[in-house]
Amino acid sequence: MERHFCTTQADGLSRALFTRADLEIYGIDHFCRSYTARIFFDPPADVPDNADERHRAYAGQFSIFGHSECLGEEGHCAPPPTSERRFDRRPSHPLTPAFKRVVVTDALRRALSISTEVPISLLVAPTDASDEEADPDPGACHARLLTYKGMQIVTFR
Amino acid sequence: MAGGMIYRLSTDPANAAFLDIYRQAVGRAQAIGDSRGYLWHAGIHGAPNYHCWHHQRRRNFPFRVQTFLPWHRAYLLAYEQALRDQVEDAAVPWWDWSATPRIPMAFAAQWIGNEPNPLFDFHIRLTQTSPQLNRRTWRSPKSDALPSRWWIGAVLSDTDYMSFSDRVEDLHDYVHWWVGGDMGQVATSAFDPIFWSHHCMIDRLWYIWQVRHGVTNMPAELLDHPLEPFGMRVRDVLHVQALGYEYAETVVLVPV
Repeated sequence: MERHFCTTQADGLSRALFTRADLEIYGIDHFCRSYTARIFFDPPADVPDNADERHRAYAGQFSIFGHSECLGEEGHCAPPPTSERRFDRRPSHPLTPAFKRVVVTDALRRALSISTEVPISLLVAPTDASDEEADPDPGACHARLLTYKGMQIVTFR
Repeated sequence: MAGGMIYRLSTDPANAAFLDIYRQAVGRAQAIGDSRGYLWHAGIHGAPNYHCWHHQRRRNFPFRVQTFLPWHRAYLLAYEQALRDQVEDAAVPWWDWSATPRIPMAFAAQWIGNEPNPLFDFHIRLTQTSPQLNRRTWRSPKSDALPSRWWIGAVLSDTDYMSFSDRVEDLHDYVHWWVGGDMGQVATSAFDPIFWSHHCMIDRLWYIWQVRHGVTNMPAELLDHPLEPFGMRVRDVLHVQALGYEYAETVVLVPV
């Protein structure tokens, strides 16, 4: 099980009145295998590997539909820099980093009732080991699954 | 179908006659290697043509281009019309994961009588990829639960198109991960016959959301966005009835 952890100082959040709160994760690399990431507003020590939606600090989950191995020639799966050509209206590369939003309204309220510092733990469940054994096209894509540029909590009223 | 409108039904075994027609059509399409066939249509999504729309952007567009839903609606339509070229009454069945929390029986059986079931798997033959692909599709379903009615209901209650699109796409990603195997990979997912019924359910959710929140409920800037390679724009795929289909629970012919 792959784990990620960060905290956010939520002084502003604790004073905000909100009817909905989203955890946004941006710049997600989705080249590798598919996975599901479960989110908990708890420190890692309090989140066992088998924690699920029944955990008291469960906040939500998101999934990534991955590309797995590259089926093109050299350079096929390397997104080029954004084109600066004025008349280049083509869509961006299919591996343009992904954006995910998870509605965490109730979980955030629970976390803020405890502290203004919100711990965010992510458990990333990749494909099963049996998938890797059965995969007829095993590639070299075994890097850390979840890589992203940033995360933010956005509230709405 | 009798009245000309295509009625898409579910993968429930009670729709056996509907599923038989679909199976026949897919079987015939799988036997065709050219642009009329299953291989060609499946190859639009990922390998070898990569037209599918998930996270791409467009230059000079003010925000993320949420065309995941309209692109896949146009894709499903093109595929369905290709099947109807083979068997006139064929229509894609939807897989309601909340009602059938496993691979539906119609897709899980490897044999139908003494014949291989074309809905069970497909032999991918691609020479344009590197490495080339010459094998059957495979699945590896997880032991986790599939999306529940509660999860679906929460997504459908979202009144904002951009937020709804993100959340239904995430639900879609989860099912791809759940099925695993080729369905767990963008490059080869569309070769698995279950892909189409999964996306039929996604399209159905958008249809239900449109009924509740408005057919044209989306940013105006998206309406003229092209849906390649189908020769359509977003505005062309908003009304399912105008596209000639509907979602129904049952269709019972009345003898006259």
